[in-house]
Amino acid sequence: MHITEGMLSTSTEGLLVLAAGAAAAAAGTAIGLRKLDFERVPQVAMLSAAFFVASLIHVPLGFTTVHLVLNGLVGLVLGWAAFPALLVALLLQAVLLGFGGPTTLGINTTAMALPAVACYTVFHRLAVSRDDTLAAAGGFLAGSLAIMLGAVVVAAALVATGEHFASVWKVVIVAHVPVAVIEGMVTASVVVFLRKVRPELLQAPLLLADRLEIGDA
Amino acid sequence: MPEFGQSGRCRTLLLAALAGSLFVATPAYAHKLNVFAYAEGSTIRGEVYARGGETVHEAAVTIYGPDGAKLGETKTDHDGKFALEASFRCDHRIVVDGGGGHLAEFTLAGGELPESLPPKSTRAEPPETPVAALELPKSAPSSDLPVDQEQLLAQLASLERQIVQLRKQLDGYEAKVRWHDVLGGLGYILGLMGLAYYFLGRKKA
Repeated sequence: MHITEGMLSTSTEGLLVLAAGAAAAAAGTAIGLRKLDFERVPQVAMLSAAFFVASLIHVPLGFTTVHLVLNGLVGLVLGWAAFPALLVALLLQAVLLGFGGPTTLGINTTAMALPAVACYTVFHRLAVSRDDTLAAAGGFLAGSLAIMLGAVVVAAALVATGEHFASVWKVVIVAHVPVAVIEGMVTASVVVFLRKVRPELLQAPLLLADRLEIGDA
Repeated sequence: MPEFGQSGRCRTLLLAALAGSLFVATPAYAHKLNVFAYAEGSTIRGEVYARGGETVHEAAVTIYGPDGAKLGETKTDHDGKFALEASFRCDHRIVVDGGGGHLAEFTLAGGELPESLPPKSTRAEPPETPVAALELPKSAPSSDLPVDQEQLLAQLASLERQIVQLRKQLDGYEAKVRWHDVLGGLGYILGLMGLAYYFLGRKKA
């Protein structure tokens, strides 16, 4: 889902999209950094590393393979801190692995982190609920919706620069549905696992005042 | 407050699982598109592949001249290959759109195309018939040595194929994801974590 470096910068609409993406990423990162808790730093680093590596893990799917994204999980555990975590991981992917580049870093970060934060806002309550099934459902929904929303952001960026909606729909949105399902299952199992071994990882990651313990919601 | 003493075990487990799954990696069409092209006579032949080696079919291929004019367009076939007749002896900029935000570019130097093609000017007519597959060097063979032209042509053709394979290999090698890049990325993340700890720790104190 990385938008290639150099793409979008050839038209004025494309440049606007790039600028908007960069602005959104900058704003989100500022919020995320301000809300970064001293104790949360290792978790941010861990999840950033997991995201960085996840794209190299390929899951066979019928006649093709897809790769994990994990932005839903990053959102659930980190909340707004997903922005700096994903920005760092995407920057390193761009510099070291060639996925995306400096001009598309903003829009790629927004495409990954905005859905992560959105899923955190909506599904975090489920992930820390007393019921294990509800938590698993919350994890599944967070994982799968984070992928689909990311696809929507990328699709919107492409359509805004003039690409045919029909082809974008097929290539970007429909193609990511199986990825979303797999990602949902992975996120659900990780959430259940974390609840058992490290429940405090899923606490409200930001404002010390409104931390939720498992079973509070 | 989370206690980091107990966290080591499950974190190591998670990391070990992630690391272990790297070893079952199989090719995937995911991030980076690569295109590679060469000239066979006056035909521009190319191949599009994704990082990991998977071929890309039905991708839109557009070729631009040095002044930006569109010289031709086609689509990749089932194997990710495409071919286009060149009409001019100039640099051809090949752009491939794989859909979903993936673009790849490759510029074929004009020097690779046969000299029989006209240089790119404002308006030039394409040649009527395509030229032969190979152009022999300008210097005529000396009359002392009897030269079997057929044999020479065949050998040169095979040499050309081998060079193409070599270039393909080189291109693929450059595109591979390498372990030291992954480890470098993880190292930077750990370093940033240390810095963040330092700065946030100072703020706390």
